Amino acid sequence: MILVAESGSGLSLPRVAEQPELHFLFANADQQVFRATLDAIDGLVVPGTVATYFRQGTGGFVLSLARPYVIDPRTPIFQFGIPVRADRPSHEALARVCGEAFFRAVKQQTALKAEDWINAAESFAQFQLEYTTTSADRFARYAALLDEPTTSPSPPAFILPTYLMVAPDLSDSELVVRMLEVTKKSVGSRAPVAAVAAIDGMGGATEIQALSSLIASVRAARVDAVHYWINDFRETEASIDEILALGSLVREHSSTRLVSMYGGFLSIALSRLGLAVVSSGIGYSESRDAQSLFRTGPVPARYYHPSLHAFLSLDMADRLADKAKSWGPCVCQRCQGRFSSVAQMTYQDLLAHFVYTRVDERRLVLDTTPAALADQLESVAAVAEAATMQLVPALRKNVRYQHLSRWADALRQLS
Amino acid sequence: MITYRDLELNEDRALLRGAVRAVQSAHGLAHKGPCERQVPLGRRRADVVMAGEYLVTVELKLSDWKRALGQASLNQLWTDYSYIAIPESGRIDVICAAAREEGVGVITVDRGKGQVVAEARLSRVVDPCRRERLWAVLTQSG
Repeated sequence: MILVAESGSGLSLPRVAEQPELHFLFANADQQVFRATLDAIDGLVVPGTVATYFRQGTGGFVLSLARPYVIDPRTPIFQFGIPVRADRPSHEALARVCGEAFFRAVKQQTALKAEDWINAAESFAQFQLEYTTTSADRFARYAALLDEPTTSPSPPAFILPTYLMVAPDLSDSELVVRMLEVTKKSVGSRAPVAAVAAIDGMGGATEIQALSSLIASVRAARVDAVHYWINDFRETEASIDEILALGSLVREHSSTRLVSMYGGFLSIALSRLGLAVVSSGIGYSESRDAQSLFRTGPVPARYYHPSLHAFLSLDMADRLADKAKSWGPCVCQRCQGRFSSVAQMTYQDLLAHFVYTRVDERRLVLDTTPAALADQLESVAAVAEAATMQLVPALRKNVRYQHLSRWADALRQLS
Repeated sequence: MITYRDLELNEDRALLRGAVRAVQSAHGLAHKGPCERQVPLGRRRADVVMAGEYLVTVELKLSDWKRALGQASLNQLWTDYSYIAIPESGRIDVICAAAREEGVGVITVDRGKGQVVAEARLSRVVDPCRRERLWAVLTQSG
């Protein structure tokens, strides 16, 4: 794990070739899981809504964890608008931090002007810079709850600019770069700045190529890292061409510290090509649709299958386990073979299992050659197919395993 | 709790009534024993759960028996016996064959009268943890 202890403009960070960091999105309800799995968490991503609305509670908790963190401005939420019925105080809190004109436009549901976005970039950069002083009232209280000795609150590992989800024709890319430049100017030498390159569209190979151009544009502003987000890109549904395009993108920009904002096992596998950080929620958000960013709610109780690298409902997981006995019970650090049925797992167990399985996935990628990993994925797909065919037809569609063969094919071609 | 007035109301209820009475008869369940509709099984719901010496679920479907069979197959994790209940059908042999393969029972219902046409097998995948949880739900609501 890299700890960004220094700050300064133009800071050149060594790229982590040996292993990708695992960063997890922080939702306000996750505190117990974060504490229980802290040893497996390299960093946190705090959504802007959570950081601004639950300011002291989140600030105290996040700062007490003493892990690198970033605050994701999540500004596409305003780009696409929030249905009135879904408008929440947390959206209002985020808009307020983006400046008075920005807030007024959001409240009145009028179009945001380029100037509003530019001003928001400056305001939000200041919010992040002042986070340790304005949001740490409860730091001591949360620090006392942890077993680890605490240090004084650290600033965000990177300051992220406000950003937009850019269409594949790159029409908004200029505004994105301007917000980045304003952020850099506002931050000066006080902290490293990362860019966010978010691309809209269907997540096809064309969009991924557009993303590569967008990354090149933001890199030109001399940033310390680039966080990328392909809108609603689901790894388990990706075609071989899309995976190849993504692999080429990662390879092309491997001299930059690339962060996948919403990724799963496939992203971890791409760390071999130069992806430095993979982020997701704990038990959710391996992909994210910007047009539904306003949607929130508890993580559903479901089981992350360590061999399929995909989620299953609890009942499906046990039905499948009955048909594929060779897999046996999970032996991740949380499960340790204790659960003969996933129904025995508490909600906290399910989430912690996800975190530790992610750690195991990283180890698997590191310890296995790409060719051997591809073979392993193919072999799991064969077992899964045989097991699935033993289920009644109506249940078969609930088991996703076809992605494993596509991943295997793509990984072979990329290696 | 299903009231017996519920069972007299309409055509859907005729399916329900026939299914419930067929299960009661087949498994010797008391007529006034615990019998609930739309019982949560994790994130799903079973159409009917009945309790006595055994726990029994029934999935009711006026059409799409395959979907009912899928649900009934998952219900085997929760209860000792699992059934589907459908209106009388010309394809009953095909349906019974598919259900038997899974150990799921089949009840056909005609004008409110139910008949077990394929007996459910005692579930070999019933999970004690799920069963206990379901039993607690039924006991509390009863």
